[in-house]
Amino acid sequence: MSDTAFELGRRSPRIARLAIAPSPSAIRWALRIVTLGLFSVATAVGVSLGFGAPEISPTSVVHQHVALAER
Amino acid sequence: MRPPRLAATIVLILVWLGAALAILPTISTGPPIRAGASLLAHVSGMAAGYGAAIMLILMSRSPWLERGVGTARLARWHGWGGRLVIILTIVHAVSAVQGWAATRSTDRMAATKDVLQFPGLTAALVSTVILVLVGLTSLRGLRRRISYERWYFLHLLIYLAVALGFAHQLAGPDLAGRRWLQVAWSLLYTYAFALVLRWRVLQPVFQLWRHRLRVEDVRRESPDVMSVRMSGHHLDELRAEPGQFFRWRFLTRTTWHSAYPFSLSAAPTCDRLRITVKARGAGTRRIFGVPLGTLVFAEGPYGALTARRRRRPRVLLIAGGVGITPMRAMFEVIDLPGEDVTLVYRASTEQDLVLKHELDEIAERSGARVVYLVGPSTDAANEMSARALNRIVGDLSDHDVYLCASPRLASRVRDSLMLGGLPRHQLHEERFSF
Repeated sequence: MSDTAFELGRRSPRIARLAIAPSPSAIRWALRIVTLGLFSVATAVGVSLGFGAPEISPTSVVHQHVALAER
Repeated sequence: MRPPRLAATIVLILVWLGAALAILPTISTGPPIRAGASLLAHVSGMAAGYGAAIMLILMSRSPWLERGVGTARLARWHGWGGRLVIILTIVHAVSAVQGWAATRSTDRMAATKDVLQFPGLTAALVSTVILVLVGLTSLRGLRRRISYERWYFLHLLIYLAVALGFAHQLAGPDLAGRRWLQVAWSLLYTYAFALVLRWRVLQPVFQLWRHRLRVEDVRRESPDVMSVRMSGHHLDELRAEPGQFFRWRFLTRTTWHSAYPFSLSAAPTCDRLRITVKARGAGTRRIFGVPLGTLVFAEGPYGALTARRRRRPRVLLIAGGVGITPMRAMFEVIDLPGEDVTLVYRASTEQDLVLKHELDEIAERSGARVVYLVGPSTDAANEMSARALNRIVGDLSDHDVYLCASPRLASRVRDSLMLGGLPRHQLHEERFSF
């Protein structure tokens, strides 16, 4: 990161500050909603990854064993 | 508040139950696996994959774990569990190649080449190399030679290693074809990463925005110790307590990339926090030079070394060297009559007794006692055994003992106190060695 960016951050007294100060309880609720949203996304991604995963493993040593056992 | 030990036991039971659930399907259902290298490869692979996700969860800084189990205990579990995961990963890799060589009646070199050609195996190899590298740098002998900053950066690569290993696990023979197990496994990983993202990334970013913590003053306490006072807004919302610590990242060009764990060295107020830092290397020394007004990215508060843990009618605080920082903050606020609070502060020289004037001031105001033990540890007057501490405070059995010192001193005091019969639950510690 550049010196200018840090210097701007150091000098700026109102970095990313909202004009309306939210109340602590509004912030707590906002954070809860963010957490819920994050875990909803994690659930969707997890389920989708699970259902999209291969049905037969390309590395299956198991199948080798079964094949050998059947010989 | 639930006693931390009970919470820790519940978490441990859940972790082991999860491990059993992860491994059992491998050996109890599906096609039979020949005993020997193949079985070992399957079991160690599943255990390593499960363990890697659990390590992420344990170190996600989730407040429920931090408060319930305690930072020190989590770090101990992580140290032990992390080593186990690395060993299991190596065992898995070696035994998988061995198993493949046996089923194909080929030598190990050819088997390695075969195995590495499967999809996702190159990523798994990179993941294993990273894990082994991190494991090596965590060995005590090597760790001492590596700066904290390098060690920290290497540890960050673990996230990459875990993500690279995940694709291989999902397509591995133990999960492939078992749809619900694949979904459960994916959820374990996505939840682990979500926890990390929530508490190690979003929370500090939110805190930076909400509290706008900035360096307000830097004061030299001794030639190699500085106090950094920071000011900010709504700091009471952090609900930080004396005895707790944050991971601090000072946003300057030379210091932004490393986060350092430092305890609060004064009771937090709604607009100020203070830490006291000892220069241990180039990285910590750079903190001494941060300009006033520097923005500070703080992760925390962490740690269960707080007055809430107190159960006995009297308190003994034991500090060694810069371990005085959390003790200084607690000494200021412990809600007991002064005569029931004793602080024993061990240092090699008078110069190393940082914050002494503040401690004397608090002692004078509250009537609490400070005992300074200064000089070589071979001096009988500086003994910190249970017997010597008993002599200082009268009767250790009616004390809660809080301890923060270098790993060597802390271990000596801890061993002596345990041998001396102090119940484990009356000893509260924070350990900061990395």
